[in-house]
Amino acid sequence: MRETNSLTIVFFDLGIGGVQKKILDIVSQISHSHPDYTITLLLEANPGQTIISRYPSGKIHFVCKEDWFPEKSGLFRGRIHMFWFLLWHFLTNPSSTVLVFLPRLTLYLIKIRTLLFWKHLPIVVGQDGNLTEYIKQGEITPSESKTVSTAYQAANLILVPTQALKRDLVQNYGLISQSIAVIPNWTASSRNISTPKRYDCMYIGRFSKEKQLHQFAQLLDEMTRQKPDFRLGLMGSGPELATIKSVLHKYITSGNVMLLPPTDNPKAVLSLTRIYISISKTEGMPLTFLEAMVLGIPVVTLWFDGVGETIIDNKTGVVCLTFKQVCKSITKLLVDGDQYRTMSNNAIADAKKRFSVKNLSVYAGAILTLKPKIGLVTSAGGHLYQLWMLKKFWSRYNRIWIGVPKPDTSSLLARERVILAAYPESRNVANAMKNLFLAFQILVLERPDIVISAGAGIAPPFFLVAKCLKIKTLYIEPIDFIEKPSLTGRMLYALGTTFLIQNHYQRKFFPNAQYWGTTL
Amino acid sequence: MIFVTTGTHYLPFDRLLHLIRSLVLSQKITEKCVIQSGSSSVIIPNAYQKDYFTFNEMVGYMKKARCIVCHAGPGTIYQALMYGNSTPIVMARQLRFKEHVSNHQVPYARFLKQNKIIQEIGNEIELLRELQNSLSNKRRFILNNTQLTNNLSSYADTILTNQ
Repeated sequence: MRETNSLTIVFFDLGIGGVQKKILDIVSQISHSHPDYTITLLLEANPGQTIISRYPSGKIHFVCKEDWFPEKSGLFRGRIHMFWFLLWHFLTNPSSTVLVFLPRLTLYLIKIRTLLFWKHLPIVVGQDGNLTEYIKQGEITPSESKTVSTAYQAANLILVPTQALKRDLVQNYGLISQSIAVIPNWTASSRNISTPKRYDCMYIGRFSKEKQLHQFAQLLDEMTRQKPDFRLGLMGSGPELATIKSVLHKYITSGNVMLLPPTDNPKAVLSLTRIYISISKTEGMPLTFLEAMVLGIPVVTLWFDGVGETIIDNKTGVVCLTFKQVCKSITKLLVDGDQYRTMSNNAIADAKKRFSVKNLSVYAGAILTLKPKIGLVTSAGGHLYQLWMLKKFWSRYNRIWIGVPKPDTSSLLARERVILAAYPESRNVANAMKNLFLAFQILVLERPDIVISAGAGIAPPFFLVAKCLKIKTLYIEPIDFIEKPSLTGRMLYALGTTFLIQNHYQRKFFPNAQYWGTTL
Repeated sequence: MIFVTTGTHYLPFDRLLHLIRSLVLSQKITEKCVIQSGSSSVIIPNAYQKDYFTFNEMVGYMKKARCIVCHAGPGTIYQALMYGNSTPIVMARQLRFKEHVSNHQVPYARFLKQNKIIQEIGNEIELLRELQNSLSNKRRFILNNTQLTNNLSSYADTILTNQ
C-alpha cells in the first residue's frame, strides 16, 4: 500500500528562514542521492516561480493549500484550514514517509494519521527550536498544548540540532532517548572574501517578540557612548518591525542603525559586518551563527540553553550573561585586532569541522533509513521478564510498552513509556474486549512498525488489531511451556504471526515456528 | 535468610505458604524469612511479609538469601539463578488447586529438575530436606540470549525496507 521511496515534507511557506533553507537542502540532497524518490512539498502558501526554480526541476511536486482551498467558507477559515487541506491530501494520495516541522503541524499530522488509520505514514518531526519556549509564546492554544506530548511521543523520529533541545523533550514531554536523533545544522563553506566592513555588528532573523529586539536600544545607548559612529545592521522582517522602528527611531535617523530587508543570500550581507550579535534567549542552533562562523565573523551572543554546542566561548565567539558583558565584548573585539583574527580563524575551522554539509547527508539518511518503532505487549511476571531480558535488542529502537498494572511492571519499566491495559487479562472475556478497544486506540495513535510479545492474555487483542492494521507481529512462546502449548500461543499461531519457539519440545505443537535462540 | 516468592500471578499460591507456615510454627525453620506472598492471605509468623516487591527489592533479597523458595515461573527461577546463592527450591503451581490457569508449571519444573537446574519439592518433608541440604555450591548462571537478540535486531532492521 505504501508507495516505497516517497517523502512528503509539510511546512507553511518556502520564504526566508532557517527551516526553509533546511528544506531546500534536504530536497536537493535526496533528489541527488536518491533519484528514484518522489518528493512532495505540502505548503500553505504558493512559493512562486522564483523559489520553485531553486529546487531540482521536474522531480518535486509542490502542493499548496491556497491553490486548492481558497479561504472562503467558514469551515475552512483560519488555521484549521491547513488541517483539512492536509487530511484531504493524505486521504487521496498513497502512503509516504512524512517530514514535518513545527508543533502545530505535528499535532495536525498525528491526528490525520489516526483518522487515516489504514495508511502507513511514518512521521519524522524536525524540531529546530525549544518546544517549551514555543508553547510559552502561545503559538499553540493551551488546550492543544496538552496534546503536544502525546503527538511527539507518537512520532516515529524527532530530529533536533542540539543535545539541549533533546533534553527538553526527554525531561518535559516524556519522550524516550531513542525517539530523538541529534544532528547539528550545517552550512556550505564559502570563500572568505575580505570585503570592506560596513557594519560593526549585525543581527539577521525574524523580528518577533521572543527575540527581545527592543533591547537593542539599551545596547546602542551603551555602544554609542563609547563609539559615536557605531553601526548596527538589523536584517529581517516580522510582526515586531513597527515596534523596532519606533523604539530605535533616534538611532535610525542618526545612522547608527540600518534596517535591511530580508534577502535570500544572507552570507553576502553578513560578510559586511565585523561581529554577529544575538540577544535572543531562546534559540536552538541558529543557522545565522553557522553562516557567520564560516565567514570568519565572531559571534557575540547572550547565553541560551545549548549555546555551547554552537559557540565555544572565547574561542569561536563570546557567550555573555548580561548586556553589559555584550557591550564590553564587542568593544574589546573591535579594538583588539589579534583577538579578533584568532577568533575569526577558529570560527572558520570549527564551522568546517563540525557544521559541514556532512551533517546534511546524516540528516537525509536518518529520514530515508528510518528505524522501526516497536510495540512491546506483555503480561506481568515471567512474560515481562523474558521480554525485558532482550534489552540488548529493544533498547536500540523507539518503543512503547503495553503492560498490566502489577508491581513488577511499574518497577522494571519505571524508565520506559508504558500504557496499562485492563487487568486481569488472563482468560477474562470482558477485559479482553476492553483491551481490544484499547489496542485499536493505542496502535492507531502510536503506529508501531512491529508488535512483539512473549505472552500472555494481553497479547491476542493487540495482535488481532495489529493484523487488521497490517502491523507486523512477532510472538515468542514462553520458555516454560514444554508439555502443552500456551493458549495464547495457539491463538496467535492460528492468526499467522511470526512465531518463535525457545526449545525443541515446543516444535511438536508449532511445526512451522522458527527457532532464533532463547530469551533466558 | 530464606526468601520465599510466589511471583506475580493473580491466583493465590496458598499451598507453598502453608508449608512454610507449618515449618515455622513447628520451629523447624528458625531462620529469618522474607516472603512475597502475592494475592494469598496466609500469614507467616515472625516473617517480613509483603504482597509484592519491586524488581530491585526482589534482586536485593535474592542476593542476600541463603536459599530461595519459589513457584515454577520462568521469570522468578531465572532471576533466582542469576542472583541467588544456591539452587532454587521450586514448587509448581497446579491447576487442580486453582493456583494457575493451566497446568504448565508441573512439566516445566520436572524438566528443570531433570536438567539439574532446580530442586523440586511437593511436600513439607521434601522442602525441609532441601532447605537443610541447600549448599552454596551453585555455579553462576550466565545469561546467553545473544543469538536471539542478534536475530531480532537484524529482523527488525529489515522490516521497513521489505515493505
